Amino acid sequence: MRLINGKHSHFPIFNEQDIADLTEISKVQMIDFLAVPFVSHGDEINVIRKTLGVNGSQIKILAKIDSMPGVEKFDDILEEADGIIF
Amino acid sequence: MTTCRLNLSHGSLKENLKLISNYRQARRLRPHKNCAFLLELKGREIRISHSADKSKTIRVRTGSTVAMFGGEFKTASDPTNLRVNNESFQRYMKPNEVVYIDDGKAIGIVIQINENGVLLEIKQGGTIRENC
Repeated sequence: MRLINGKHSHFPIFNEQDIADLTEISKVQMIDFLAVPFVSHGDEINVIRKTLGVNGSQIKILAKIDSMPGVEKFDDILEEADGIIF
Repeated sequence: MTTCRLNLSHGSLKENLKLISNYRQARRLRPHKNCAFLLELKGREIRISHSADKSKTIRVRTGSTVAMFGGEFKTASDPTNLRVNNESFQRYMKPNEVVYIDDGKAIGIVIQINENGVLLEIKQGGTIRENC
């Protein structure tokens, strides 16, 4: 079930498993880019960057804009992300 | 190939670590090649479990009532019970909210919320794919 049209932008972008995965990702070498779908606010990118920590500081974060909230907060997201995927 | 992309929508990171390991080995063996690795998170999405039907689809009918709930993702879904891979999604749902299943192949309205999930009234029936 895809949550589309931005109707579920209040739904948390990550669950506990996602956070655990991010911590694991930061330990895996050779990952250059991390694409994050359904981003609706720049703060979400900051959460990812903090979770990746120093170990994952070389990973570039690409925000995917695929909902109306993402379009509305585009400037804010662009400020925080290393790149954008529409 | 200039970029290797791995989408975590299909399996957990743990399940995909072997693929990442294969990529790393291939890259080490080809130091003259330039190839980036892009990992894509699944983000805000909920997946429905597999179908018991051979067609690997689930047909939900217009006007029917469907229970959508978490906690039994390894059990098959059927036209009246959609099991999903998230146990807390109902906390973020609201009555009368529109739910688009499989990118809108079926559309339901939330008519009841309980501790395990939600009840949907299907406004537009359709055939949805398993693991969508």
